[in-house]
Amino acid sequence: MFSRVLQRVCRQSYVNNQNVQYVLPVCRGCIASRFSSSEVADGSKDSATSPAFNHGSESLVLEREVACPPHLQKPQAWLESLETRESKKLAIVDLHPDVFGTFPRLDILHRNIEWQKVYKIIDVRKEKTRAECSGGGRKPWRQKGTGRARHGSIRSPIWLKGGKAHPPRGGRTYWYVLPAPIRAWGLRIAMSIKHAQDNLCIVDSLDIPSSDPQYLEDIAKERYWGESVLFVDDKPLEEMSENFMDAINKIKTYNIISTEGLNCYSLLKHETIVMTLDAVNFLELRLMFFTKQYGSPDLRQDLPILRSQLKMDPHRGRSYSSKE
Amino acid sequence: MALFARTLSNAVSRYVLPKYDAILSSQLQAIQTRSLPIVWSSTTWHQEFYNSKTDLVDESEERTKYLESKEDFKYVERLIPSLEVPEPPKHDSYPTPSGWSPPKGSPEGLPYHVRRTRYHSHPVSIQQKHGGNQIWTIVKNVDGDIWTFGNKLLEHLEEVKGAEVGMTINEYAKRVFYKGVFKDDVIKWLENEGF
Repeated sequence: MFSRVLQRVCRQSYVNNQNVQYVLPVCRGCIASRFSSSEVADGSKDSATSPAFNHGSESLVLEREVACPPHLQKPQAWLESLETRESKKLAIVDLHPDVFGTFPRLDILHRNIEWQKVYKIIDVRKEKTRAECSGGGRKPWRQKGTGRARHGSIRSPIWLKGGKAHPPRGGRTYWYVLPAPIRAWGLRIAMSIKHAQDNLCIVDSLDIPSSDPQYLEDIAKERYWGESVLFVDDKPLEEMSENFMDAINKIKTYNIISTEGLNCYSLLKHETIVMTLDAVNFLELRLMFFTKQYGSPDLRQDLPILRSQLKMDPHRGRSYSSKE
Repeated sequence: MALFARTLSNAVSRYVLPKYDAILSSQLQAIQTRSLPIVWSSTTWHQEFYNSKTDLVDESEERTKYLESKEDFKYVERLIPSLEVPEPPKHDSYPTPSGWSPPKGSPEGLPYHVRRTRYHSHPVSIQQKHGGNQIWTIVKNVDGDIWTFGNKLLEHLEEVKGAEVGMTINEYAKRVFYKGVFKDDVIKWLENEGF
């Protein structure tokens, strides 16, 4: 049963779980059709470690340190650019196998999405108790002798039009906080699924030459991104490029999010995720942190304190002294 | 008493803000000249010092400037405990006195791999249910071909026990359950495999 689910969700690579020799995340038969504007020669499908590109003397693999156990295969992705309409592949990037190639635990993903849907609900329904219904203060008939059942009030719960025994009482919250490691795991799973399904695009930066929304739509058409695109960058929204924000604001299905706001629901809702390399660097550090942190709660509270009070962020290379 | 007042005034004039120095020393002089013994209760002292606010605080005067320096924060920074579990230090010989040794490295081409926990120990544990009537040894973090791993370890455990051993494999959660108490045997076997 699970194997059927897995085949629907991700490529064959997951069934044998990271021991399979795969380098590029795409379905091999589709390379040429998927990236029609790229320069991949047909014969290079199997030798993905040394593809035939006309890139001259530049090295193709971006040197990027990925601290992962040596037995795991690192998934790889293209580093692209948004500066030209045609798809331009700058380099191949190694990714962390536990962030972009983790086992797709759909139950964890379900927990995340249920939490996101449910925790904001405030149920304001209110119904009357027997005390709040009008009337019902007097005993309807005497206790004995009438032949009828004994009652104390016409508004008790067993009566028609009576009050409810345990009614909803106004503000009921469904609020709860899913543990941070489970939320981080959910993000890793969502990103792994997106990468396996060829819906993840890594770019060097989100700078575009013009603020025309048609430019972004042309790019999406060229690169087969689909209807909805989520752009992810590591900066806060105020610092993002104005050209880009102007273009995005005019397209309903293209959205931008900072890594601070990244969540499983948005990752699944949008068809393609376009992520900057800065965001990838940060997410790898921050999401893997939760797999390595101590278990005791008193040590786990240090990270939020460091970030909020001391403005130290160990995953963005920001220490207190360097903030000056 | 006079000696005490003098040493106090010396101490106070060195560390207190300059503008209060003249006021304090005059007050101390007044105390020194009194003939009766003074009871140095906190209420007497504070009443004389803080009640007459208009005498002490002169708003027209410029406030003392100060410099904020973050130079010494590095001494605090190095005391903050590490957030992640650190790597174990390098020992001269293994196993260490407690019996721990790092993973040797499994041979290439092995279809499975068992990762260590975040605390660098083997992911083997005992689960007890129904008041101890049901005991399982659990091996977690099994990457790769979990069935090959499970069957291979099962062979070894059946040899150890000399009888059949029940096994359950949870592919989805990457865990293998063996019925019985085999924690030490499993750990030894994992170390031999190089995990």
